[in-house]
Amino acid sequence: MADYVQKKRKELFLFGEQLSVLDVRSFYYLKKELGRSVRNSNELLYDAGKDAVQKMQSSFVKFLGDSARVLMSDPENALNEFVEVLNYLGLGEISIPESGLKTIKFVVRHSAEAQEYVNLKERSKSPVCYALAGIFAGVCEGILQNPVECKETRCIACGEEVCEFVIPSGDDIILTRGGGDDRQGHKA
Amino acid sequence: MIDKDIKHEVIIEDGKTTIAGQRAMLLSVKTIATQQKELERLVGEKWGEVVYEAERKAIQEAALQIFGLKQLDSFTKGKTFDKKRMVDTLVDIFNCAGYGVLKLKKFDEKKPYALVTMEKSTIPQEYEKRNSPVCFRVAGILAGGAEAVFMVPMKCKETKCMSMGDSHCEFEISRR
Repeated sequence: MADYVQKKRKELFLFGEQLSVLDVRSFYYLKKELGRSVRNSNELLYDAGKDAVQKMQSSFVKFLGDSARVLMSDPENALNEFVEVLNYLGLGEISIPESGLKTIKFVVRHSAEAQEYVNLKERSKSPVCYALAGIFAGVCEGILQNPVECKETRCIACGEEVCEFVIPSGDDIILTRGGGDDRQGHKA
Repeated sequence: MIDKDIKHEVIIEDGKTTIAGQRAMLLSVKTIATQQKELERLVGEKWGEVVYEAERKAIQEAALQIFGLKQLDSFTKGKTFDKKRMVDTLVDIFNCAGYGVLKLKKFDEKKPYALVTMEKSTIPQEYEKRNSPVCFRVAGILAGGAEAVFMVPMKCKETKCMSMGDSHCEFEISRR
């Protein structure tokens, strides 16, 4: 895993792509500014998270070549590997508490997306980690090669201890987006 | 006031990333540029202001914390600060952040005013040549950092940008 992240002088690269640093506060303020300027800003964040991961997965495949194909042929192993990569990006401490791919659950401690709410003692009525939900959806879509949606079911911004994200099993996918109540859902 | 032990580089540990003791995230430059373009498509010219303000507020708070200060008017408590040293610290931290190589060209503590250039700018390289600058995120970072240094509201304007065909990016920082 250490080979995926490279340091050249003071700069960081992941799969050969340069990384930039964002203070978590700027993510918090950006979300607030977006909320004022853009309708459906939460959907924008979700899609942005998904897009970011899809780019990352493309870079990953290019970077690793044949090794990537071998890895991706074992979805559960690939999922664990991607989670390890995400843990290098400072999004929070991410884990998958249960094995198997039927219903996938991600648990995040110290979510970067929600952290500032906690720091400012700002309690949200609904989960706020839309970008993270999009990221997890993007990871799973890339590995499972099937469209999925991810919903945040617990959030530290709501006073919970951790953030939790669920991707329902294929049998009863409900097309909801991100966390919170602003979802449109229907059965696939 | 400035902790000599604060590391200016990015540290990744147990799912948390920090720079100069401040919690941070890492995003690919390509992703940042894509998100900026999408925001520009959605809200037009206003996109720059959205990004700028978010960064300005965030980095003002981060820089104040780095310097062990609570708010902008802390200097009125009779303390004096080595502002040039504060600026050098922030420039050094910025140069670990993956946006480009910042150099301080002019610095006037009394005005207050600063002129900085940024070479090898990473985000502009993700754009086709255009008529307007794109480094609003960096401008916001510089404005927020300047506020923590000069202790008054500051603004930053990008006057040259590699996305416009200039050889480097340039920013003017002055009182708001």
